Amino acid sequence: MSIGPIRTITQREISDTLTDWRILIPMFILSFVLPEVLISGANFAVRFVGDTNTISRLVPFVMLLVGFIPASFSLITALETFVGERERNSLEALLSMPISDNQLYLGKLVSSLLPPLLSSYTAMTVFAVSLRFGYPDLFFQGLTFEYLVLGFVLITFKAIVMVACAVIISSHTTSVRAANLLASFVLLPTAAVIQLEAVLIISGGPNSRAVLWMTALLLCVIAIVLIRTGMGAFNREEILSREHEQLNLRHVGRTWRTFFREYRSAGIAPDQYSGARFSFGRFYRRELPLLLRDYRLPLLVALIAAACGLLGGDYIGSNYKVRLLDNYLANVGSTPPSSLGLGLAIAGNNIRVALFSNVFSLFVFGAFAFLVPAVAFAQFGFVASALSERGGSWLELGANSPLQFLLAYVLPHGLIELPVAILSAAMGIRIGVALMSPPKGFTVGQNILWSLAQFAKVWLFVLIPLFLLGGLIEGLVTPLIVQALYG
Amino acid sequence: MIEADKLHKLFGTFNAVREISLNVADGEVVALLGPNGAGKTTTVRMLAAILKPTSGRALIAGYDVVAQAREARHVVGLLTEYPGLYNRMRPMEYLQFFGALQGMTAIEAQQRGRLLLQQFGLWESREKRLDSYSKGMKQKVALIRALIHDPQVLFLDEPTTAMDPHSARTVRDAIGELRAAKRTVLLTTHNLTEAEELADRIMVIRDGLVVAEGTRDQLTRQLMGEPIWELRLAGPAHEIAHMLSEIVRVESRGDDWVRYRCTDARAINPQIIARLAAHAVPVIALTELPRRLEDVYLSIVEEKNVDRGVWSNETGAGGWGIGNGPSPAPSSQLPPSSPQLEEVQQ
Repeated sequence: MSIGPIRTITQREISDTLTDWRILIPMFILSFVLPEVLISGANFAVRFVGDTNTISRLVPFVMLLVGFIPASFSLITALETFVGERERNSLEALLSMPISDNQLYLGKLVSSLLPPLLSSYTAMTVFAVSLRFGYPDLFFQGLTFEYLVLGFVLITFKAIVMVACAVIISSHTTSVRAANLLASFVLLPTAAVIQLEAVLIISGGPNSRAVLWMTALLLCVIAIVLIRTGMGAFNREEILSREHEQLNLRHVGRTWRTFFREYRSAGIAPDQYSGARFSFGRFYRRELPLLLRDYRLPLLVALIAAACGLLGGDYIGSNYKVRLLDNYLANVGSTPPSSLGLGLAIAGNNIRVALFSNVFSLFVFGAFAFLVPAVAFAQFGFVASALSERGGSWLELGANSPLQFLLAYVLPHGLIELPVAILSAAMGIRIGVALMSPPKGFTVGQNILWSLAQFAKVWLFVLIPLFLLGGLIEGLVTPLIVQALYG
Repeated sequence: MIEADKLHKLFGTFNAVREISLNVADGEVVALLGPNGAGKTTTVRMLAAILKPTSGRALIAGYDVVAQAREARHVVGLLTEYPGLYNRMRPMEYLQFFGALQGMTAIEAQQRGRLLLQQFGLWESREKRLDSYSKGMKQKVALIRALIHDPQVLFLDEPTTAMDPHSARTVRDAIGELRAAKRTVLLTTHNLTEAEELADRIMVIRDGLVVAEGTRDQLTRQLMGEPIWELRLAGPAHEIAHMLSEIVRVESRGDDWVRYRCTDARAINPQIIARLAAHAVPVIALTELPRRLEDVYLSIVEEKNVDRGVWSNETGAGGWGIGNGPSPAPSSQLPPSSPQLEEVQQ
């Protein structure tokens, strides 16, 4: 892919941005004035509290804040990229140019990112330099080299994530107003990340910085996924052909029913379906194997989530003492009495979790679905690892034996429930990415309806029966095995 | 140069273009005429490789608009309905930007831009930002943008919509120059004067179908019958009408005028003049009644039963070329909506 057109688009957009005083003045204020105001505030706080140490712990967070506010400007320009041009009628000429969708997309992405990011870097530099020369005590106590680097890295990835999300929104909406409304999907998770950063920085300690680095890594992965997704989902045809966002519920219902009745791979338009009625025989014999084959990637991601959970649980179990998780350890060996009610309650809970985590995954790009196997396997990893730390052996049975824990608490029902949980998570992950990467031949709406229809079928005819079976085993058989092994 | 075969475009359940086939030869100017929502812009967008046809195929200068979309876009210049300029830029910067996207070097784009700005009378305003330009000037800049890479094919999508008469005239003149320069142009419009003035051939589309096609004269003749001539006399006309009916079909007459249709005016009119002279009838004037394209157009687009048929100059006078649609009005009858008809039937 030639970068010439990307550079051309970027240059034009940046030049456009930098000649607009409505953008320039706020950027100047945020880059040069805000850091000074915050430093003055810090000085006032030091005098008010009378303790440099307390305030110095806030300094890295304030620097992140100083960087974040100009970076948040990227949302304004990024949300405008495609839909703004569409509203100003200048998009069609651009779309008629002999450049690829990826070149166009990347040109817009980079041009939305660079000015706010440079403004952020400037603001953070101004803040650090002013602090160094104005208040050296605060600087040396609060800002280590690691925090400085971390600050720049976090702001960079956060800005890329925000811009990538905003450009996706901009290329899939028909008005700037709609794009602005959808921007809350970007702001809410970003606000959550800022709160996490605040907590970690204020709490201090090497573990906090390790988690901040992990956060940066996670943001980097999310940024890459979002950019890839945006490029995959970008379609110059759809931008022009999308005329309004009117909801036609009848049409939506008809399309969903089409996808529900008959399984065809994603990307095949509803009008190419045969119109056959739903058939259990066809579903179990032919369509379910096909569906599982088409869901290879989400299944792999769900497996990775489970593996990450297992390893994470194992790491926490062997390195940390987590009070919340100690209850698990305290209860190893005990179990409620075997009963049908217990089995049904467990099954009901699993079915409910599968339903809600998957449906809500639509709004968080599959994160809920990803978390379910991760958390479930993390519990096993944590308990097994903690038991090991207590001296239990994987090779022999005993009260502290991880092997015995596995045989008693996991295997009987887990043989059914865990694969089903992975399948459920895969369905949810597919729903989550439906918004971002419609396959060729599908619109975003069709992709969402398709993934919801497949989930509905699998939830009704696979997950519910298997969760019921797994729940009954867990309610009726597992307690007996636990009693037999633990006494 | 432009070949389209059964282009069809479906947006959800809406048929924007049902079936459009067209051929535009090298150097030909064809106007795609039709009411709002007829499918003109969608057709142009498909031909400009911006939208993919749901079915059908199109070649632009030999490039398939789907399989070779980038190549097709490279040989096409597109003037969009709204100029949609980047108002903060100056014209030369703007043209250089699009030139660069077309693969031109900065110097090439600058030279070509200068030439075109001079040609279209905008060189003097080159230092002004585009937001200070008038509508006509902006549309000219958009036209120059379409021409910057010297494309083989030009698509002009409703180039004078929402413009004041003066601006529209300016743009029409500019398009006229392109016609003189033998560019291959597909012009979409619902402005009949524009189509009449600029196009070699006119295609009328309605509801995503081509419903009539031909030169202005062909369309007029096919839909409104043979030309009508009016003979104005210095004396009463009733006796003359009787005399003329031996030679031509008299359509109507007044106290001092007679109107008749004739297929071959070159042969018939001298005979009539000779006969009138032989009878010493004082003739004031013999003129062909003007028949406006508007009447032809309205007769086509207001026809409710043309969906399955295509009125084509290739199908012979008054014939429905394709499909099993009902027959049109006989060529001797003018459509009821035509002002001409009311006049003739007085």
